[in-house]
Amino acid sequence: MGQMDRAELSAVSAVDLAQEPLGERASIAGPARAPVPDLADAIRRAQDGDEEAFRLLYRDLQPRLLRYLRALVGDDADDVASETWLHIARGLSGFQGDSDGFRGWTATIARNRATDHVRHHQRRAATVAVPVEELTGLPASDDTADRALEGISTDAAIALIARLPRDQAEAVLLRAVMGLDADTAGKVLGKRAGAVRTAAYRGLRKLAGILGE
Amino acid sequence: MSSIRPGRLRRHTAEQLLDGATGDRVPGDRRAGGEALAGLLAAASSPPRAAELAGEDAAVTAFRAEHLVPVSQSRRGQMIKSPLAKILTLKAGAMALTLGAGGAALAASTGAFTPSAHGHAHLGAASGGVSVSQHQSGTKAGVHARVPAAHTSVSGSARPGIPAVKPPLSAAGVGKACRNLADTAYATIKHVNSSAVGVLDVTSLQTALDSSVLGRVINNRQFGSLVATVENKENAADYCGLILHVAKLASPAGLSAIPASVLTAIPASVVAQVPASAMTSVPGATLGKLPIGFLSHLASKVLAGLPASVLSKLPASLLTGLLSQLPAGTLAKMPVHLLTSLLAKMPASSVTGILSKLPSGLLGQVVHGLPASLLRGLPSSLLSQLGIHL
Repeated sequence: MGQMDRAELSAVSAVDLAQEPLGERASIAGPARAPVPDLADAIRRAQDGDEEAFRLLYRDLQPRLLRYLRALVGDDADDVASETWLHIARGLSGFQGDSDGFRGWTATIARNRATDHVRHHQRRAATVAVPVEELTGLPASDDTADRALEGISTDAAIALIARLPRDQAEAVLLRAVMGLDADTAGKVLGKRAGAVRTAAYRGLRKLAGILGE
Repeated sequence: MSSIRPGRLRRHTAEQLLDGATGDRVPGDRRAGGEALAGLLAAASSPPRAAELAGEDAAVTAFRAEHLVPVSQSRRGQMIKSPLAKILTLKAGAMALTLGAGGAALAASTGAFTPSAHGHAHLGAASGGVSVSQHQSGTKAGVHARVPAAHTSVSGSARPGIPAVKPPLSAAGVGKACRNLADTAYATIKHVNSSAVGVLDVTSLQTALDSSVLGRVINNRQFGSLVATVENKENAADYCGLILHVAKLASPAGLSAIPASVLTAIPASVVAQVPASAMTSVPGATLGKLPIGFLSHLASKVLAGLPASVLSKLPASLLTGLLSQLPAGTLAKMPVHLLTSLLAKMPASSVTGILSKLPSGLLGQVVHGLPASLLRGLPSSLLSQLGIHL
């Protein structure tokens, strides 16, 4: 994270803290999100040829890559993910970096594979248009919120995010699903961290608007 | 949630939401729809689902191949220079990955298919292992529960019931072995050293796979693993033909002998590229034995390219299954005469369901081409809607 970004962020949060009544900041327990574990140990063992370690990497990263790819190539995500893993397996021994770097590296491979795929097929897979009302149906009272939110399926959530403009969708998915920080996501997208934050922010604002309709 | 005002979402809240994947608690900024967003992002980053991990064994196979391949062999791959050869290698690799998955599943009975594979058992020619892995594939496809990552422990190393001969090849290994087989066969035909062959083009690959020399070459011990993977020597030419993207299958009759699990594991995008000419040479009886999952991946142009004589040999049960699985968009692109002739062979009860997927313009044309005997079995409401009075 660049210094400008850090300064900008802390300035924003200071304002937020000042303006926000305490009661409104209470956290709620959301539906389970997959934690983003440190993969450094598994990466090192996999580089030494440890198959179980490679499986650990796969189980953590494959669902994230698949969901990211779903937004890029639609129904062809499975095929592109398979290709991505072929490249990961091939390049693993040459990878240098930490856990975050590894996530970013795999996302970059997936993105490149998707770009090639789209170019090859001369089309961008039509994003699945799911009516908003099927995705939400959010309740008015807070005590039922958790149950209703559980009702949004993973596929529907990804489909909804995929409806955002491409740069916003990618920024949201790389950060929330791939588990990348803005800096690493920026490297994947070839953008500055600040630009990724802005795109993700705009995306979330748009999503909040859709959910609130 | 009418109180949500999108503009009120704060950057700070957005950052917290985006970082929320690292914790199990998310901030709620109710006025800005924070809860709804948190729910959405939580759903998007939910723990792995079983179906999403279906390609694990295939990925591990690729991993294993990369870490066990002797240096001399991996160097050979890097020497390939022409762009076409690169594309071919890549395709063969991608395909081998999936094919390898099928092979591994077959061998280990613990494997999983890529989600694109339809595990519909429709093959009598293959071994008992097929039904086992297909059954598992069906089970996996049906699982939709959220499972924690640690829960899914597919053991790929256990291979019960496999005789201690050459083990089935790894994903990348299959592509390499096939290429090696073709190289060796071609070199034998040309009476040169196999190192002098270079990278074979499609025509040469075809020549190599078609040649009678192949039957001798494959007896070489170095291809023991390939034979184990394709189950018997006779399958090798077709298997490699598919993997190496050779248009014409060497001995199309052998196609049905390739395990259904292998055929159904081929990605739809690859199958769709199989040229019509490759399938027209496949005897109808053989086509009839192919899994529906494989056939339904064939693009409409391939199906349309099949001569009526071949189509007419397909059993009605297969046609029904095949057409029922084709998406409406594909059906709509099929030539009217083809659809009509296919539907004419099917029972009226199945025809109704397929007709309901057709756009109205095409529907009218197709229905008018159907024999009266079949029309009598259709719902009268449908007929009157189309202005048909029997």
